[in-house]
Amino acid sequence: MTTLRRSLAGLTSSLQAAGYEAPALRPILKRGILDITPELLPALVRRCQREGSPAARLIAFWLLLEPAPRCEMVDLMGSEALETLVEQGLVQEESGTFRARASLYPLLGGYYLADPVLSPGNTPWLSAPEYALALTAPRTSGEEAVDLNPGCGVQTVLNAGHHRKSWGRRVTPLSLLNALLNDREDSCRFAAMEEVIPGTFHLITARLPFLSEDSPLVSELAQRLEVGGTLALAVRQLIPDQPLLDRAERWLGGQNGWGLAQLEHSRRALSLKTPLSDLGFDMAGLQAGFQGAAESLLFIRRLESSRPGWRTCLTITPPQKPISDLVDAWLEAQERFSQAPPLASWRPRWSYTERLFLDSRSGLGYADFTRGFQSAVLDPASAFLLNRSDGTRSAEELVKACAEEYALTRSQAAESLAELGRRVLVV
Amino acid sequence: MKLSQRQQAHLRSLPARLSAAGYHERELADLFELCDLYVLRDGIGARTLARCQQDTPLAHLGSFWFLGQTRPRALLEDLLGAQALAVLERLDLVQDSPEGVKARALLFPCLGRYLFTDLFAPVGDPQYQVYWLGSDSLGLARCAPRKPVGRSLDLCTGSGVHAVLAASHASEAWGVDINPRALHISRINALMNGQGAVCNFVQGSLYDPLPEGRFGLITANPPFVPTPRGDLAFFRPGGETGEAITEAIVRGLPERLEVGGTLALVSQHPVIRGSHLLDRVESWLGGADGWGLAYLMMAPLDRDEMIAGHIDTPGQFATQLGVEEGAAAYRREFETWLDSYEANGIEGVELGLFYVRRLEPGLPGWRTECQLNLPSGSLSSWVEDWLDAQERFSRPPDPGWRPSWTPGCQRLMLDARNGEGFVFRDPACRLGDFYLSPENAFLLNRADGRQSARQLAQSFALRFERKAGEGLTRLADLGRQLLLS
Repeated sequence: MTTLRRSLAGLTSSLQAAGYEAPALRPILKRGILDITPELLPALVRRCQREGSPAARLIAFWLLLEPAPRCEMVDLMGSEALETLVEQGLVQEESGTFRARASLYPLLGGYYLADPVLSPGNTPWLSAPEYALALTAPRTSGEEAVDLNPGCGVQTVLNAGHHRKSWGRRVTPLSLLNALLNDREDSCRFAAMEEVIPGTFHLITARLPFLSEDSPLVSELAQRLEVGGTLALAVRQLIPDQPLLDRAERWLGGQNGWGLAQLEHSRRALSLKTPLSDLGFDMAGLQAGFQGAAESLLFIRRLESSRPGWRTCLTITPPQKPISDLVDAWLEAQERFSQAPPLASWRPRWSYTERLFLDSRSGLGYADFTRGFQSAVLDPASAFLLNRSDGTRSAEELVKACAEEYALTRSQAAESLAELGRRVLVV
Repeated sequence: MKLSQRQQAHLRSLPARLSAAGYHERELADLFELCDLYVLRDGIGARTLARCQQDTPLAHLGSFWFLGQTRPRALLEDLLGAQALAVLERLDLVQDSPEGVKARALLFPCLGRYLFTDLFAPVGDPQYQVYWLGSDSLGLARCAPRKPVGRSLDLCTGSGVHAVLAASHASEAWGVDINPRALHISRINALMNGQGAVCNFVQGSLYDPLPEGRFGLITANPPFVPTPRGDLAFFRPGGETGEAITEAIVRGLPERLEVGGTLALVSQHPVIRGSHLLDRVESWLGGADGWGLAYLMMAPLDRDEMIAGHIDTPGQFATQLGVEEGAAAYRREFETWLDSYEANGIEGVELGLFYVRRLEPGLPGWRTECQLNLPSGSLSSWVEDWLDAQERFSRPPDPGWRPSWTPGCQRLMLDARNGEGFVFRDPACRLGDFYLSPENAFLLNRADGRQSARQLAQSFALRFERKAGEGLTRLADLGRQLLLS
């Protein structure tokens, strides 16, 4: 184990030194990690060849599964690491060349081994829901987390970065290797599929159908999710179906004590001409008379039992970069601003606002976020408040000035300010 | 194929019947739940297919002409007229079968006209396939100038769509194509739309078969696919750079375009390393003087996906050659295309239109470009205003001019912290919103029709400590962007 750990640590260092990291992919391939398809393989290989950098050669080797000369790979990854990869059956050597038998994805500063994305009939392990979950789940520090997705353990390893103990649902050789590769083997625990994982959790990650409404965990959520903890669930939902937040409320038996938030990040029509991997889903949906499918992330936060519940929903573009901190701030803000904020002591200032534009003729505002969420259109009173939220004035002063300027009651102006808080434009 | 006077009359009766059935672009797109009709080629969902089984005239006609579904003869006779249906059968545009009648052509509505084209999958020799109305065809149809002209010319006319549309504002509309089947379809389309007397279709290469003389409007949607292969259907290959035919069209303009006249050419233009499209157009014209050049960029296209779209899929190769050999053959074919693109410096492809306007002798040339999403309806008057504005504001504006916002400038937002501007365009004009420098935002914000250009330029000079002349230049710049008039 020590040798394995040492050689995988060496591999990680070599990959990092070669610049094989998630942000390097798009400039080289001219497309995102989810858009690698077998049809485009010759073009992608050519792009890597032309780029010629160590990162490009590693992309060709690990993601496009191109064979590479032994000496080149030894140079990039080290002979000890390669020997280990061959021993583990992840790389095959044949007459002086190496060929990967698994894909190795760079993601969020780590590396994840998975079944090859380009195998005939295979589904990329990093499907859009899984990828979205990796980029958005609010990973704040806690004691224990559990990931209910079977697979190569990517969420388990990511959760382990913020929790003392991180449970995964299925032991596979790749999930164990991924924990080792990312130096998380001490905090990762993998259970068998049918095994009941004990304890309470600060974070639960899952995607449907691996967590469904008849899962024991859902009925026990009040006992299994800590106060302040979050269930992050990637959902692909048929439309029209029961609205997701209504469905979640039904699971939980009501809204009290729960904060519910939905981020919808893509919507598409169901089609007969859909990628093979989705065919079953589409056919079932079509036969049942549904018109489309939406990809969402559902966040269920357990509140103090005395707190009133809240629910909120936003539409965003599919995330390309990590926005876990923004999602966490958004969930926090729903709680903090679910009631009138303390006006006297609070000095509002911009939070995730990058720019505010004011309509020179109508006073409407247009707030750009630093990243992640789409721009928000603001009524003149809200634009007025945001424009003056520079951390120097108290909320009380802002509310008073806004009420006078726009002939509002104090409570109306205070609510506008709270809404800016809930939209994470001010903090 | 010759039609009798009576048969021609039956063919001319079709547009009114189609229109009465609601067979229009928007209604069909709604029926198919698509943003536009050109997307149809990518297929529709099964739910949409189910919608098309409704018992409405539009659903019957939509599924008949676009989805390859048979319909009972009696129903089609009721919708299209029995005699008109017989004429279509004689023209081989529909075919009787034991299950009912089936379409052998697509029938597109376009800006109040109707156009037959070949099916997406050709029924005859693929070499002679007549192109359907793709995003390029619709882009040109919707963005061609529509001022009255004496003679118009449509090169590489295909279905004749642009000649038929030009016939409504030209006293003579010519169409040229090298493909004899295209001319057959074009003539049917002209007849059906009542433009048989105005339209003249001739076979040959570009300007070769035309009589002497110049044209007030020249439109072209030439074959543009950059390809090392010469065996694609007529409407596809544009030589290795994709511009062989485009170049020949532009080189003919000094002889064929009248003063004040405009060429509107749509293409998937190659993005060539170190060379701008309008630079190439200028060199084909022999210089900038006497020519106004404008480029409307509609969409950047993915080079790799474009190549994949023009060669057989890995599955098709595998069917022919087996899995391993098929995969290798697919890769070799793809690499042949890549080699050709690299040799020609082609890094990408853009869907767009360029315009060449012939100016009065002695006038300085101008050039401009902007981005546009494919409009859903006619944008012709905007295009004319845009081209006219380039001409008007190619010189410093009159200091007495009182600038005001055009209808295309809907809203100006000012950055609360640094004074930069953000302009929302009228959504109908489909131009993208964009940022303005603090200087231009300052001028635009004050241009309310009350102050003269001189006064605005002076305010600008005071505010930014610059010369007033720069203010006038900036106002002209906003005029060319169609923000001020």
